[in-house]
Amino acid sequence: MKRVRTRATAVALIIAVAVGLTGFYVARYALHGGEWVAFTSNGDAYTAGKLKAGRIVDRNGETLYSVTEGRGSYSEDKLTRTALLHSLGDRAGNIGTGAIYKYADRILGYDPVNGIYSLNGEGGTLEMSLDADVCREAYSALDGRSGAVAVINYVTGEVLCAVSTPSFDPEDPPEIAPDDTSGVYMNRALSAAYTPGSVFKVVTLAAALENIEDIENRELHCDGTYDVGGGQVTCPKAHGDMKIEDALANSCNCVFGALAVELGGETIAKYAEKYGLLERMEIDGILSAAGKFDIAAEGSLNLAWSGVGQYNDLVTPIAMARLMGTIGNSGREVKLTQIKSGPELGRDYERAMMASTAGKIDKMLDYCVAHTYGDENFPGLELRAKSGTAQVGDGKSNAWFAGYLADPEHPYAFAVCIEKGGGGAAVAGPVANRVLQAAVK
Amino acid sequence: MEFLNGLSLAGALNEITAVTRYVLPALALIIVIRCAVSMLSGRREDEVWGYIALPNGGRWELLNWENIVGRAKSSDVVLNFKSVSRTHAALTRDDMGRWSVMDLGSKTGTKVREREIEGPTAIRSGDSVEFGGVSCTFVASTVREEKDMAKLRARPGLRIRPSATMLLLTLFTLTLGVQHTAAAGEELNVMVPVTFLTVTAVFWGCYLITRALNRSGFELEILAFLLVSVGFSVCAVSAPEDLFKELLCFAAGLALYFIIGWYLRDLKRAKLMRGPMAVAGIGLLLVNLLTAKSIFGAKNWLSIAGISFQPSEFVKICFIFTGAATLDRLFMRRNLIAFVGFAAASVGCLAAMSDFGTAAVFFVTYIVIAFMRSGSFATVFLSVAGTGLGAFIVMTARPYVMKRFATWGHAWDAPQAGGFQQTRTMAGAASGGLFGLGGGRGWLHRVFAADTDMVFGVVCEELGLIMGILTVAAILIIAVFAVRSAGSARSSFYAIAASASVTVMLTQMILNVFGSLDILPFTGVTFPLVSRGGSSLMATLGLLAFVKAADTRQNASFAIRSGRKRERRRGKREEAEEE
Repeated sequence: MKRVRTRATAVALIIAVAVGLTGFYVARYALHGGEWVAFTSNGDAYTAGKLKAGRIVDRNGETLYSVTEGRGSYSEDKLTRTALLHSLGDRAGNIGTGAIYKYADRILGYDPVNGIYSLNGEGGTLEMSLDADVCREAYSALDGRSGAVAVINYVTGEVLCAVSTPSFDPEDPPEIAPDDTSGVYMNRALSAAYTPGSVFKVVTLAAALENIEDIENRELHCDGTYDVGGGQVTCPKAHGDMKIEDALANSCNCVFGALAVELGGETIAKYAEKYGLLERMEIDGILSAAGKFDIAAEGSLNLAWSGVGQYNDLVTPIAMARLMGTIGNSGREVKLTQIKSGPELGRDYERAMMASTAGKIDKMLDYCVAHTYGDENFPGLELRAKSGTAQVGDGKSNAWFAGYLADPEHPYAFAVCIEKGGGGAAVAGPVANRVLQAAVK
Repeated sequence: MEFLNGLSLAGALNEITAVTRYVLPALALIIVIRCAVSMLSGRREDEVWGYIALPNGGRWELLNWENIVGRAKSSDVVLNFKSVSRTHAALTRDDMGRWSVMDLGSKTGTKVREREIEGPTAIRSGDSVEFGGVSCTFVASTVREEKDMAKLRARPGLRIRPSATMLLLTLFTLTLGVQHTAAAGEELNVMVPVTFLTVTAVFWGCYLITRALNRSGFELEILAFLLVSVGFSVCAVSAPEDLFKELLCFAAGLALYFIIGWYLRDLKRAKLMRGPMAVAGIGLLLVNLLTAKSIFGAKNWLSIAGISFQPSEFVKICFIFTGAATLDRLFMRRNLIAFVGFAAASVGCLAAMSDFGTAAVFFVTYIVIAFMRSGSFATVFLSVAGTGLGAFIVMTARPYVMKRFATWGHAWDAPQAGGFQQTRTMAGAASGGLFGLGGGRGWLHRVFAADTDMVFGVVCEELGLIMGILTVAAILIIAVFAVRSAGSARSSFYAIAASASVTVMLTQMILNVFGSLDILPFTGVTFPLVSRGGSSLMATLGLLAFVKAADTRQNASFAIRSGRKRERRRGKREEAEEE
């Protein structure tokens, strides 16, 4: 019997397996329950692929979307519907990055304790970090032109605005041909990578500050052209003798082209990578488009152009806004979210840039605004910014304006890009001003 | 006005769920804890049924009804003499208090009262027994000693009263009924409330029978009933039209439980069943294999006079009967080989029916029985290796089995194909959170096979993860209880039978729950007592009788004779002898 008694413990082994597997499942449930609930075939949450209940509000509590009796409806205001279309998503599900699809578990009110149970089945409320006022202003300011406006809070990581045009009214969707190439379903703030032009000089500048000894005191010179690798980098005019802060304020291609050649493509690529311009950024599970920086041959014309944001360089507006925020936040890069965070939340920082570098660039961007763009064009704003006029072929240029507010009350960073809009500061600058004025209000 | 009434009524019904969704898991938790404490607490004191006095003056106490005498350290009576075989002889007591000794093929033989024995030989207290030339004296405990021992034995139901637990269970089951009635609204099938009331009455009926038999151990039944209640909750939402049939099967299963339990009271009688059970098991499987029609992939259904059932469920009971053995038979290779043959035939038939889930359950059970009988890792290893080869051949021959393994762990990559059921199980389970959406308020039950293969998802969705885990815990507690009981079982027959029974339940539960959650391959076996299905319900209740028969706590189990009448007779005999 002693033997049989000992051997009966073989069953204990199976019991242990069951206990272990149960623990494993509970851990998986805690980690992935929200994703499982949001599965569109989950009949508890969806009827024929449509959410059963719930509501989306902006950071000020304005209702952006609500589901009642199984039918979803957007804001009553057409401007709001159109401005926030790409952030929320359309009914047909063509805009897959929309909150309706990506945050379904939160809209349903899912939490691991209560599941999606709610007393009268009214679902949950998703409080987004978006500010509908800022989004409306951005959409109006873009004024029918294609482009994107991204605004973030660089301290909390909250996205306040990610407006993309062209857009449409989701309550009255137009006929859009299947072979349509306008990219109306794409949220350009996140998913479009544009040639950055001169806004990219910030990256080359940071690399120079950290890799070229005494660059701040170096005498720089511009004749209007810079011969390199059998070709020529040109400026609109000869800038003459200057220091680095003037080269940035003048957006001098010759100086930055020469700095790029001096630094080498690999160094600049390293910085672009480090500042998160090349990666597919993850915002609560939504992936942005990747940026691009091709390393051109040593001493080549392409290398010089790549240092001023031309050649094959590509950047998304959201990544550019985040980099500007990193400078404003003394080099600490924040993790972005579209969900409103309480005062104690957020603060998921990564040291992307040396604090001293960020401090130096901050001063130069301040100088840049005062010297080139004019403080009077941005009344009441502690603005730091850089413009870009990125040539995209056939004589057209993308107009960029990116920067941040050095204002602890309003720690906002932004990027505006208007496709084929023309001169950066002249075209994108006023849009940025309108959006920022709405944001600080 | 009517509209307003309807509105407030709907609101009130919602509020019933809002409150009871917390009440149900709380009740279930208390019930499970009460049962666990009652079943697993209390020391299992060594019981002394007699002793062997050695020539050197020492003595070995006989702590069981079946004892191995031998040189091996794992023997119950260790005689460390070169002339004694490692496993020399068996000393066994029956429930009449009669002892016998049997030589287990030792080299040097066994003598009783100085005569060489062949086969089982009766011995009496004071007899001299010689093992390989080592002369000992056998002394049995007297009736008075045994009575004193019984007083010390753990007695269930004193500290934790089963009647109180029964009240909690009643509350639980009726609350479930209220939830389902409220959720169904105007589409209520009248069988839903009737079922929960009937089930409660049946629970109490069983309890009263047990009390009438003067037995106080009822935790095993209560845990089973808790699972049955949850099972009826699933059936009430997924197939209310089948509730009546399910009720009949529950009643039939309880009858089976009491019949098998009663039958197991007599070890001699139980042993007689081994041959017929083996034949019946293989017969059932063969009939099934030859005539059954294939339903939903697996060919494991048999339809007789309009009633469909799964023979393989009942073969489990045959399997346990055939696999269990008393200690004197345990050490005969011939017996083990016969069982290996029987097991191989069963698993083979099931594989031929494409019922791989059940084949896996039988196989794991076979390993446990083989290990308990032989104690040999080599046997176990060879079996596993052999089966692994067999499984490989089957998998290459049947591509759809291969496919199932390919999906395993990747359900979310193919949510509309190979991962269809698993992804829905997880989604539904997550919808319920810890406390569930309320009985009758889920959606998962509409998915095909949700109330059988994916039942854990339905339970978690409607009653919550806590309830889901408690159903798993209930099976685990029964298993731990069986292992503990095995240690003090009166015969290794009961110890092996109880261990094998819980192995069947455990393996089924593990494959069912974790298969549907994509943690193990999805094989489609039932969750014992919870999944809908009459055959499975009946067979599982039958298996529980084996666990009951190993419960040696004082006056606990109806499947064990109290032995009072016999004690009285023996006592008189001993007194007469003393005079």
